[in-house]
Amino acid sequence: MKQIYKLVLAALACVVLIGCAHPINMKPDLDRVNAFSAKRINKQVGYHMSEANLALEVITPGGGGDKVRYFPYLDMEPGFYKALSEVFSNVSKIKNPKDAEEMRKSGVAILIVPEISTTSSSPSLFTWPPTQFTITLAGTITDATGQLVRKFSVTGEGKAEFDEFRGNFSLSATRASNDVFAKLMKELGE
Amino acid sequence: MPKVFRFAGFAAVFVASMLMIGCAGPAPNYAPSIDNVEMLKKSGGGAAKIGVISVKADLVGGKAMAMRANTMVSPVGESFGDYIAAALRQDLELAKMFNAQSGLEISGVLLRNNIDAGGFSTNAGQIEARFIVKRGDQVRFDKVKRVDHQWDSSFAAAVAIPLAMNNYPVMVQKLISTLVSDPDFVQSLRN
Repeated sequence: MKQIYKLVLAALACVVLIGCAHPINMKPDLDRVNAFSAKRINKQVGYHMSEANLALEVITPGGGGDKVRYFPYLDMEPGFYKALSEVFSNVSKIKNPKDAEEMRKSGVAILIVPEISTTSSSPSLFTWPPTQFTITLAGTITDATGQLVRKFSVTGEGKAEFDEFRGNFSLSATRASNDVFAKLMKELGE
Repeated sequence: MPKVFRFAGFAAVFVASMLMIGCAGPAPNYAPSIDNVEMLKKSGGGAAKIGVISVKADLVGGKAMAMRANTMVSPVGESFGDYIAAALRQDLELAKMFNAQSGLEISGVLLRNNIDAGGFSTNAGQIEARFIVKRGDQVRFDKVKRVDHQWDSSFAAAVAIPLAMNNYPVMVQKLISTLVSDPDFVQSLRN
């Protein structure tokens, strides 16, 4: 009989917990996305994040064998826009870079297309929020004619201990976002 | 009590706890919608400041919203009216249309603020607010805006509650979108 109880309890636990990917977000603290410089490069820049990327949800490891899920491009877009606004005089979102009319109307001198990749982990056996998070923000910069100007790649890291979370289980991801945007502004401003 | 009843009771409590208990606290910080920011930039409107977005008296969900056995509160100010005011300010700032000294002021009243986190497959939320644009004593815009939003959810509270929390800023983005896409609002920001 005891074996049956154990089996039923294990089955219940499996039903509830297996396949459990906890939703978090990786939005930066926008007040920290600040170049602290009044000088901006006098250029009209555009950036493009595809609709497919904005809808992309990724799943990466958390702690205790659980996983976390989030939308990298959707969560990072406001920070990316602000980081570009801190470095360049004017920023526009370009919905379709192949649309010559949109490119012409926006007047962008350069177009930035970012690619975001992430990793997360936690050494904890019992808690799911990731205590370590890394974000690599890479991409290409092309001129108005589509010629490659340069490539860039920066990596941000965020760490957070469990007793720091206080209801914010996205803390390591937020810190990684803050870090990667600080590095991006430095990289693009040089 | 026979062992089987004790076991059934324990299993019921276990399942109920998985259904009810997640982790709640402050709502996620608002992140501006770039589509809203771009609409504001292209509006040709002048810079504005943000006044108070008050909460209708006795509004359920104005200061805290129940999510199964948990509650969510605003991470800024005292109420979700303050959350919406801060959100509007962030969108205006990113569009370079915020000026704390401007004579043009956007204020409002939060009329409805609700999230249902109890569904096992989908959940939904609604926000309704009255927005007022004034220059001095002159009212230039006064309308009620409402957003209804739905998302896929989960049986487990540990998933359903964070999902509901993460969808609150999305609801606020949609609410602001209904405002900034209103030609009368755009007109009210122009000199």
